Amino acid sequence: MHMATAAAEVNNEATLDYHHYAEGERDLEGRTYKSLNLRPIEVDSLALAIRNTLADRWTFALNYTQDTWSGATPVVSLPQAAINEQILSGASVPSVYYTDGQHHPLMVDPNSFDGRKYKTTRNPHTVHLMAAASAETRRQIDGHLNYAWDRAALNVGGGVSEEPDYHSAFMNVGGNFDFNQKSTTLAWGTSYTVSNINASLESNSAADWGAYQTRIRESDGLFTLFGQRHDFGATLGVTQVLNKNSLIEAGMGYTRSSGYLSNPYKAVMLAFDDPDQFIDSTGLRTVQMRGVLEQRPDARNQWNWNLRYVDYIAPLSAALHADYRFFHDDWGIDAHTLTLSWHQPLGQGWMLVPGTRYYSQSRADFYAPYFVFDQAYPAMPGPIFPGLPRPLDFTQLQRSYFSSDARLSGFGSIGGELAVSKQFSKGTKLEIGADYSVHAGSLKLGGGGEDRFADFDAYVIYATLAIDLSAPALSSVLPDGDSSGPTKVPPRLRRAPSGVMFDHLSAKRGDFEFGYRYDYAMQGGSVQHGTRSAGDSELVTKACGKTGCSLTPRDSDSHISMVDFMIGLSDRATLLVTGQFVNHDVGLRDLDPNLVNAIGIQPPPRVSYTRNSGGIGDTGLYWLYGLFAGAGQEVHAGLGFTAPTGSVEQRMAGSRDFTSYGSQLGSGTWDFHPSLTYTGELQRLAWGAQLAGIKRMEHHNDAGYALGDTVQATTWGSVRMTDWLSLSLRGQYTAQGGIHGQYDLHAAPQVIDQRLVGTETQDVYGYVDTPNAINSPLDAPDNYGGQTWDVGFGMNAVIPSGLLRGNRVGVEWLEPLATHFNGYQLERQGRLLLSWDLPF
Amino acid sequence: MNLHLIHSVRNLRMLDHRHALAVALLCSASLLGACTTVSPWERGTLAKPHMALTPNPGQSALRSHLEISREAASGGGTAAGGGCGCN
Repeated sequence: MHMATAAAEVNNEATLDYHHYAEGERDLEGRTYKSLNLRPIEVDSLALAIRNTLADRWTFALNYTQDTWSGATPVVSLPQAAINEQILSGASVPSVYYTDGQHHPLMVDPNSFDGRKYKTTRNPHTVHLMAAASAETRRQIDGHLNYAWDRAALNVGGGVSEEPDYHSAFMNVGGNFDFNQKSTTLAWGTSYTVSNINASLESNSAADWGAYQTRIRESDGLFTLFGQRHDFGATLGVTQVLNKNSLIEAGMGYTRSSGYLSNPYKAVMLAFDDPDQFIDSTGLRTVQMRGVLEQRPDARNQWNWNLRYVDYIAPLSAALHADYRFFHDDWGIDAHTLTLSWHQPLGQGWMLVPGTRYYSQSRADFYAPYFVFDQAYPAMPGPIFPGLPRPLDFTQLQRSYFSSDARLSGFGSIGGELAVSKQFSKGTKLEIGADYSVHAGSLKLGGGGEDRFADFDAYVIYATLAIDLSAPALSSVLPDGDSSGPTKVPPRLRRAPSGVMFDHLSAKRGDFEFGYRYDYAMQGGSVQHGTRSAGDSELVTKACGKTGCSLTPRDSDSHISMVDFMIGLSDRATLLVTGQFVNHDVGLRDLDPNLVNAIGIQPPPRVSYTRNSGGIGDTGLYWLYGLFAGAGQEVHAGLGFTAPTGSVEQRMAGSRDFTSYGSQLGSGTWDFHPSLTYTGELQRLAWGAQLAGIKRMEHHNDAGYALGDTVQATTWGSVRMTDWLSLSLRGQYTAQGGIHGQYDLHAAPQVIDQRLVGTETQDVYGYVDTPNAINSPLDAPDNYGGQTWDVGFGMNAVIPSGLLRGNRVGVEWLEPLATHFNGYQLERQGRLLLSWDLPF
Repeated sequence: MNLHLIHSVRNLRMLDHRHALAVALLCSASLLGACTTVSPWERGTLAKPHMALTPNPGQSALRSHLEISREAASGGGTAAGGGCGCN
């Protein structure tokens, strides 16, 4: 919701937004992402929005957003000297570093001991420790309802946002008043958000819990942090038309956040440089360290002031947008944002938009890359367990809040962007843009920003498709008016159920159709072998090949969002382009450890109870050609292929091992997709049949394997209940071959040698090619493919009137009838398919 | 209000950015009264899509969610939606 009503707004619009964000690598002081098997952060976002007038004064807006985050994120920062020491000692976590008499961190060469001293070099650098997080997908649905009077409006909205570890619900109420013949608009808004956090501390298990002891308890066998936060916000703004060519908005906002405001995946390093320590002949001071979950205050008051100015540059027909925002909070952060953009029309509906953005913030009071205390390690009194760090006594520390999250450090960011848009006739607008930015401590306004270890660069590419639903061309898909002629049937009522692809051709050359399909497949219950259920003892001994299984899947959800564009090349030929967003969430459980121990082969250690992945899937291009048409019947062939744009190298959280084959985002191979479709229609009845296949055109993908070929046969019948509604029944048979090959070896750290340091023997680590871990049925390539039989119940509708007239929506439920799996696989529970088509 | 303004101007050198903005807001608020009224039929230019305060709201929302998870300054009052942005 934005404030201006002084400027025009489109009230009937559907938009589809895609947004890809990728960061560059951070400087890890000589260690590369590649050697650590890490990838920088990437975010893929997809948003669908519909705004529509319901009745004279009522407008509604409905938004669906999903974003998938993947890649490595910093967990903690610490002196490079401490990392060096950890590598040399082979310790599982960094716990110590050395300094000279002036407290400068030192790199110590352990082989240079001359009986009295070591060779040392000062190293002032700080470095991040990164953790590879598995991809997580967030989904948000929200809606608004707006009622407009002549000079005022009121809107009420709300929504929910869901991701595996973070659940939010929010609502907002706002409104505006117009004065001076709508030259001045006063807008206000209030909002409230409640968020529940349940974050597994698996990737942060070495850290002390600090003040969050009471928030952490075991859930599904994992230490999990439970938190809740509340955000209350209010805004007030004035938009003023200054003259015929310019307008300005001045606004202010206040947000109060309270509750658990820390980031459960971030830790801090507390370093203790005991002033009274004994210094031996080496002259080295020992600084002991302990990782702690970051601890932020439990309240935050935030203020915003912003000015936005838009000016029309008449000689060029261009618009200049200048925005400035100042932010202040009681954590000590002041931030400035300046955004400038130039919207230059180029004629024939083209528009070029260059822009730039500068952002600068000061650091939070409780931020430091790591925290050094001039005191001895403040251990909690009590028994000492050898090999385990002693718990900290926080009452002995001078401060109680710590964060090393570089987002709370002082830094600046500067970026440039360029967008091109084209307004097509028929009320369709396409915009694509790209943006590059650099984030660096040195870019902070006034200097004094964080060191370069936290610097990174990032780029964004995006595309927006906006469809004006009130554009007159759209209505032409239906016979105009309520003519009571013989064609009472809206001609475009889709007759094939939602789960059938390639069911129809474009009517003629130049026809354009946009479609969205959602496919939600559920698996759960017991694991099946062939056609029968397999017990846990069988899974342990047989489902993981030579090694035993220690885990088994409990439930598995797959979500595929697919967008397609259908273009009529002629009255017989149609081109179809498809793009996919894929997201898999799998939950696992332990198999009885006694059973596992009994087989004598220890499976690799469990990394996580979840396997989540998400991002762009494969991209398809299909050519459909009509072979026969007449007497209400039609036959067409489809030839197509999919390009392997979906990743097949998704890894498990905190591990170098690849995730399950079924959790990868694409096939990884170029695939050939032939199909043959027959459809018929007689009065209220319609029927059809389709044979479709997938042939992998490569023997293996980049990860080392290829999915099995697929054949699918389906047939359906449907009955038209009213002019705009039909019901369908469908049968489907699918056969998929097993996986060929398996994951390639990957580099993993192992002890490769031992060496003598002083009088002590230490392990030397190196990267060794290692086979992918197999500890659940999901990891064994033998457990993929099989034959399935399903029955589908569907409903299709074409919206008969109103501004969405001509939009086609469909829903189908596929119920499993019978299954014959290869190997061991989780029982199928059903599939929900939704479709939405918007013809032009 | 004027007194406040004069006071602020006098201490211009000591101004932190917050005050500077408050001054800017006050100035712009006082400007409003001086604006000529633009009749609705003269607002053809202002109604052009690229003159909207937020020309591409969908992208702005996605970008704002990203900025919230990369920078400390939050969206500013309105519930931009949930989400951890923890990575």
